[in-house]
Order: sequence, then structure tokens, then C-alpha cells
Amino acid sequence: MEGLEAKGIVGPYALLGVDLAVRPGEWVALLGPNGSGKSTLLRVMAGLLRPRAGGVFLEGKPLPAYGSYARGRLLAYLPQGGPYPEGLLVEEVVRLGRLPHLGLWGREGREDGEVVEWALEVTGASRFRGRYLGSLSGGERQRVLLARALAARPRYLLLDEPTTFLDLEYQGGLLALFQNLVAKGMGILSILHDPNQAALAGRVAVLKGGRLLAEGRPEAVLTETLLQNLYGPGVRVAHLMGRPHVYLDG
Amino acid sequence: MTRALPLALRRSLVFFWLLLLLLLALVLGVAMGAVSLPPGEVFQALLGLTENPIVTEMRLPRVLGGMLVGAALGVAGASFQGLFRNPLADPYLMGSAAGAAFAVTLLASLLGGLAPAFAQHAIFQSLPLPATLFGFLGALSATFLTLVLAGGAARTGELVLAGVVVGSVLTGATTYLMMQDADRVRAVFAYTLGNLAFMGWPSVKAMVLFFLLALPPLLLLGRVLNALQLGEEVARSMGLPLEGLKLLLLLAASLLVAAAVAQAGIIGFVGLITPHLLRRLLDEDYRLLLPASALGGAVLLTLADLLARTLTRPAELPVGVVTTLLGGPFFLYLMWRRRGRA
Repeated sequence: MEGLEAKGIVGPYALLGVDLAVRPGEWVALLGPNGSGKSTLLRVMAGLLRPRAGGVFLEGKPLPAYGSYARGRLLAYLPQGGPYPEGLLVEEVVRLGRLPHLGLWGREGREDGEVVEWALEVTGASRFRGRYLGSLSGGERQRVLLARALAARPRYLLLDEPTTFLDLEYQGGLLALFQNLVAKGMGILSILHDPNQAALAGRVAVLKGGRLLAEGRPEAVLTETLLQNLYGPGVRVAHLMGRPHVYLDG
Repeated sequence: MTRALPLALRRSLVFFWLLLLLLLALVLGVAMGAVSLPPGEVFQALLGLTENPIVTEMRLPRVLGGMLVGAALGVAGASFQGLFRNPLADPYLMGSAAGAAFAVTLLASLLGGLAPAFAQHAIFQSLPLPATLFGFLGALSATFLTLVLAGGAARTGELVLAGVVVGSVLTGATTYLMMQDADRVRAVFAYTLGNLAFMGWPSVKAMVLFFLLALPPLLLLGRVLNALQLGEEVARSMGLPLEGLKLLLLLAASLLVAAAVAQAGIIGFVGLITPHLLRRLLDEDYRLLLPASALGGAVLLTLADLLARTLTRPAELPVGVVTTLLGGPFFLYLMWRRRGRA
């Protein structure tokens, strides 16, 4: 069975029995109000937290059955915020992403260098490769950290709110990059705050109170009824060019 | 200034300068003291061309031992800072040095009172290995205690506060042990203040042994320390078996602290200042920062000891007093700069 699948995940914290799968070549957006368990679910699927019940399967095999480096080569995880090495050069930060391939002592080869170049390029981070991570703006830093995750050349990318801090131009660029990566066969699961960004994904899953409320194509899921249930009665949905557009009724 | 140079050249230059300074510190350290020797004489004695017991029996072991102690503190400081992702983590501020000193003093008092142990510096001359192992346990326990009190290593303020509390309590306990033997208070006090006067060839040999044990794992794990700067979750997601690696780093760094304290008492701030100065020149890349901190710590402590031996000549200051007088203001400067940024 291809894909990264969470089956019957109960606990830790808020999760009360969640099934969710990402297939190669698919972008799934995970949506839900604060405290609904999105980040927890993402960490469970990244193998960072163990569920009390249920399990995560990667290409049909239980996730814990993978060696940790093997898992790191297949799954890359980008948390929301978190610490970062201020005093490390951008290029070095992205190089750290090769760790699952190099282990503790492996030497970097030509292929590693090429993948690092590619990751810097597609995230638009090449321009500041020689600068310190601490000297970048929040949006620039976010792109470097994404490049670090991509540098593992993972089959699945797990992203916790990757568009925070990005201005509109780069939000658009990033979402286009996701579509591009997915077209090349990568599976992406991203938590997104903004339903309008989620509308660009291939599939949307909505989490509320630790349960999956809805799942399916954006136009089927992002209905006014559902969004009002999530975010309150002021939410409206318009349809433009076949896509749902969410706005607040002032 | 050096920022404009190509990266590789800049880094090589830093190491070149460190080695040059180390050589200079060696010659100065051997030449200067209560009696100053001309450089020519020092070179001849160092190369074995002439016999000079002041050089070979007194100053050389002190300078070499001091270099090893400084190197140990520099590497341990850099490791603690990387491991706890906290720029103010340091063997002195984490309480581990105080823990090691307490354990060593306790060992000495258990072995038939402090008087004989410290009278001829016997504990260092005859028991450098047991003293270090005992100090190791003390350093490790104090570090764990600090971490427990601080609720982990993430919050800088809590960590420093907890470390200072643990350090003060343990220093108090050491003082209590000292007071049990009023005759030797001076000698034990001179030791706990941080002093290289106890250094002889046995101490140098002990330092070399513990260095060979603890340094390789630390130098080999530079990539782990780099990855840890992205946060523990990310490091684990990339496949690092963190639980074991963090323990190994903690054990190796604590062993270095214990080895240094067992030979030379509590010498503060070397582990804090050295990595900080080098971080500006080498970036936060721990693969370079750790070996550079070893060299830098060695230079810094040798020069501090030179001051300790010559400032009040012919009397000596404990070198720990000199490093604290230099390091205290530096620490305040770091705090002030961090506040400025926040």
C-alpha cells in the first residue's frame, strides 16, 4: 500500500480516533480551529509522538519498524516556529537536511551538494545563502528551513503552518512550489490556517475536537455550513473560477 | 573585518592564529613568573639542550596542565551551550564545576581528613584518577540537579538561576568540609578558588588520559550539536537517536569538567568566554567550534595564569580569581546585549 497512513489514532492529547492518509503525488491540507489536534496529528505521523492506540503506516509498513535514518530519508518534518541556529550560514543550515543520508559521520558527496543547490533554488533561498540565519526576516528564514526539509529529498513532506511569516508574494510562490513537488510525485501534508490556501490543495481534511470532521476535495469540504461550524457565523464562502473563496462578513 | 574574506580562508586563519597564540602562550608561560627567564634559555630547556629544573619540573607541567585544563573547560563550555541550546550554559554557571569540587573535597576528607590530602597536594599528585572519577560523579549529579530545578534546559533565565543555586549550595557544603579542618583552610580554599599551582606531571598525565577519553566523542558529534540547534524534534525527525547521543555528550563534557576541577579547582568563565569569542569568528558550526574552543581555552587560561603569577609578584593569585574578574564583566555584557535585542 503506497502512502503515509494514520489509522485509528487515539491520543496523545486531544486525538480521539483519527484516520488520515497522504498518497505520493498528493497535497493534503489539514484545517481546523486552534487546539483541534492538528499539530499533534502531524507529529504522530512524523513518528515523533506515539499514539495511545492506532498506528502510522509508511508504504504499508508500521512506522516504528523503520530505522530512524530510513524514516528521515522518507519523511521530512517542518515544525511551526521552534528554535533555529542564528549563527549558522544559510547554506550550512540547508546542508543539515542531508543528515538522514549521511548519518553521524558520512562525508558529503557531489550528489549531496546538488540536492542542497536544488533545495536552495526551488525555495528561492539561494540569494541569501551566504548570510546568517539570524540576520534574515521571518519569511526568508521560513524558506531556508523549508529548504532544509526538502534537502532530505523526502517522499513525504509534513509541514506545520509553512506559510506563517510569508508575505503574499511568497505565500503564492510556496503554494505553487507545493503543486510542483506534488506533480513530481511527492506527498505533502500541510497544516494551514487559511482556508483560502487550503482550497489550493488536492484534498482538505478538517479536524475539530480531536476528530476528523470532513475530508475530500476543497470545493466539497469548504462549505459555508462547515466553515461556520469551525469559525463562527460570520464566515461566508463565494465561488470564483470554480474554487471556494472564504471571507468574513463585516 | 575578516567577514569579507572567503569562508575557508577565514576559518583556516582562525585556527592558524590560535595555534600561534598557543605557542606564544607556552613560551611566555614558561619564561615568566616569580623569576623571569630569557626566551633563549627557555627554548634550549624546552628542546632538551640544557637542563633547567625550573622549566622542566615546575613551569612546564604547570603550563601544559593549565593548557589542558583550559582546553577541557573550553570544549565543555561549547558542548554545554550546544547541547542545551543556551549561550549562557557553562560548567561554572551550571553548577557542575561546584559539584566536582565538592566531590573532590569530600573524597579528600573521607581519606583521613583534608590535612594530609591537601598538605602536599597529595590528592592531585597521587590520586588524580580517583579524584577525577569522584569529581565526575559530582559534576554529573550537579548538572542533573540544575536541569531538574530549571525544568529542562530551554529557558535561559531559569537555567542560570538554578545553576547558581546548585553551585552556591555545593560551594557552601565544600566550605563546611573545609572548616572541619581549620589548619588547612588556606590550602583547600586556594584549591576551590581555582588554582594551577597544584599542577605536576601526574596531573598532566591524568588530564591527557581523560582528554583522550572524552574529546573524541565530542569532536565527532559536532554535526549532532549543529542539528540540535534546529530543535530536538527536527533533529529526531532527521533520524538522530537523540536520547543516547545527548547522554553521551553530557557524560563526555562532564568528564572534562571533572578532570579540570580535580586538578585545578573551580575556574570560572573560561567555558563561557572562549566559545563566545570564537563563535563570532567561526559561526555556530560546532564541528569547528569544538576544536577551536579547545585551543582558545588553552590560550586563555595560560594567559590568565600568567597574570595570576605576575600581577602580585612574588605572591600568586589563584587563577580562578583572575578568570572571574575578567569573566564577570563579560557575562554582564552578554546579558545586557541579549536584553537589548529582546
